[in-house]
Amino acid sequence: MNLPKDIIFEIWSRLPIESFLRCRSVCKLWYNWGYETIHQLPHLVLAVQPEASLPLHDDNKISSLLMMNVEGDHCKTRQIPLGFQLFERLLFDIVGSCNGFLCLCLPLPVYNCPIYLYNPITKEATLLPRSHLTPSLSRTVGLSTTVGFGFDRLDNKYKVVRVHEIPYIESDDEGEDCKKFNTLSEIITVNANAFWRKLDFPRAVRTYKGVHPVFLDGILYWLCDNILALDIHSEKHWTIECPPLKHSSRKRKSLIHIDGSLAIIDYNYHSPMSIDIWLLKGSKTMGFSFSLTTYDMSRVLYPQAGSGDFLVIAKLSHDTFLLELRSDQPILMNRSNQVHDYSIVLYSSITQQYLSVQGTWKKSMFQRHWMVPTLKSLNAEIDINSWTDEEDRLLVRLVTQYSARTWAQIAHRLVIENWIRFAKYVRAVRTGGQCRERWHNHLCFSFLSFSLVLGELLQRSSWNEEEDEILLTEYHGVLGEQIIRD
Amino acid sequence: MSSTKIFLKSSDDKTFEIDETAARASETLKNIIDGGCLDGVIPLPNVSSNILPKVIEYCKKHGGDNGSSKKIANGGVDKDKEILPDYDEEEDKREKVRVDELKKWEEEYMDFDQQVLYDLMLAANYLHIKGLLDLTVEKAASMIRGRTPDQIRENFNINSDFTPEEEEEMILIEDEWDDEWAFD
Repeated sequence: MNLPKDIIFEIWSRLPIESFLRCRSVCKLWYNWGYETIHQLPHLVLAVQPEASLPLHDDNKISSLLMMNVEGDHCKTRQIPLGFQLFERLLFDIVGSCNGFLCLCLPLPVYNCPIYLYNPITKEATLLPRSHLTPSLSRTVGLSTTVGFGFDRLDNKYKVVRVHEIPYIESDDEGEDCKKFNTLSEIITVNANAFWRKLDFPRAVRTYKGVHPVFLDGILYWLCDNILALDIHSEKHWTIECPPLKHSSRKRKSLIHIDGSLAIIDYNYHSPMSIDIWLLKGSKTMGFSFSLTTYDMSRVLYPQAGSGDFLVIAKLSHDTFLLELRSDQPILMNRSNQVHDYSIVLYSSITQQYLSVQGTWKKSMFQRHWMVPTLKSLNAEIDINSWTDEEDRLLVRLVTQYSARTWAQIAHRLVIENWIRFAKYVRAVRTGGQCRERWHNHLCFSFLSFSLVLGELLQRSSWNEEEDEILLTEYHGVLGEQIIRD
Repeated sequence: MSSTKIFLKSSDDKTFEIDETAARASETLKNIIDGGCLDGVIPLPNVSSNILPKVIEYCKKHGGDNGSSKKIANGGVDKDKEILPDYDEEEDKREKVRVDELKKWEEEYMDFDQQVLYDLMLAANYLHIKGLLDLTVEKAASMIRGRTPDQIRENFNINSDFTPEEEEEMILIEDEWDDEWAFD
């Protein structure tokens, strides 16, 4: 059966990601086409990270991402499992997305929080090194960190920017204490031997806590009292004056991109509800201007009488908005009745109607990031796929220590130990399958592993039964009688 | 529009008759007709006489009413948007019956084996019949969704050309999507 490429692509474009990936293992031709296609697939995906209580899992761990696919008037969501575990029981923020890679960061008030770059489709993760500019893992009261992730098209490199705002108390002339802020900014170019460099960034900019910059066309934008822009390539920054917004509170405004431009959304939650969208036009050399459009949102919460609010995730064509909606009353279009719903709705501001409602979560915090899936491997691009000596040693040690655990747990330990011990360089995050493969095909009978395991075991005064078991089963073939004699 | 007859010749030299309005469901045929190079018979060297009647059947059903076929594809969502001032309930009811009927017809129409499906996809692609292509491609996609590579190979009549080692590697990739590894 020989279907031409365009028909196969036509078929694939209707498949969920999982099925599409499975198609690659059908035959060589499809495998090769698979790499070509993924960039042409019309999946614009919204990664939504629900907090804690997604219906499908009840413990506190994030085990999957929710991807949303908007096609015309429909949106479909599906869950895709997260390939690796971060530190147990900790949630993470998706701080940015670029070329199909997500940037994940633990939302902790510490300087040196681990930052990962992650491809949710291939499940490949890259761990960024610790910074030597900031004090290691020390906790600061009120520290707020924003992280930006962008792609430098001129140099073909990914960069991550981290801005810490450190509060301190200073007495003014009249002897009164007032809270001031210092800013510490750093930047890293993602490659094998990269390290964090100091970035020239305005001091005390007061970005909003937990609101990460938006990346658009090689520039990162922070929303503070004004808009701060940073060119990812030149690493130069400038300020864009904000238009006169109705609301100064940070919860009442947000920065998104609409139709390829940057836009500030000013929310009016008072009846009748509306939003002002200020679209940024112009350039750094020509000067900037904003154009204002007001959209009537008075019936977003109609017909339910309850209260609530909403956030714009994206503006789609024909005045259709993708909204995150929180309302006290269940939304009528949704049959399954739940209270205090967070829902994602597709809403038309012309007809004032919901086009569709996707999913309800009892309590949720969505992180909205658009991305076009890719099969590209960042680890291959920056050449860190091969195992280093240190990683090998670590793996051998972990296998002897955690013999009764699963490979996934070993991989998880490897991430943590990698972070703690060798956090100087950018590292690939290994999956359980990779650890298993490395162990069985490269290490299991190697001299390195043998000497390490033996050394490890001999150092201890007593061995437990499990370790005896390993020693006997794994090494009996190599050493034979010798182990038993020892 | 007058119902001018058009003649189509299949790859194995058989001739079929079709109304011009029906033929306009195909972009390719429409261009030929509008281009004025209508010269009695249109040869279709890529479509065999087994498939051509099936294609003509589809065109007859959908010729001239591109609007309603679109409505089926959207699964009735259009209804929500149609709050026009001169909203005619009777008209709407009739439309609904027609759409339902068309859906039922499509169900019966799509009842055929794989070989016909592939040929129909190729024909729809060649003749640029959007509706038919959507219909057939959707069916093909349903033969992939949730299936294992082995099942897909069987459905699409493909032989695996991977070496056993490559195959094993593929399974490794597959499994990472499934679950954690047990320690072995």
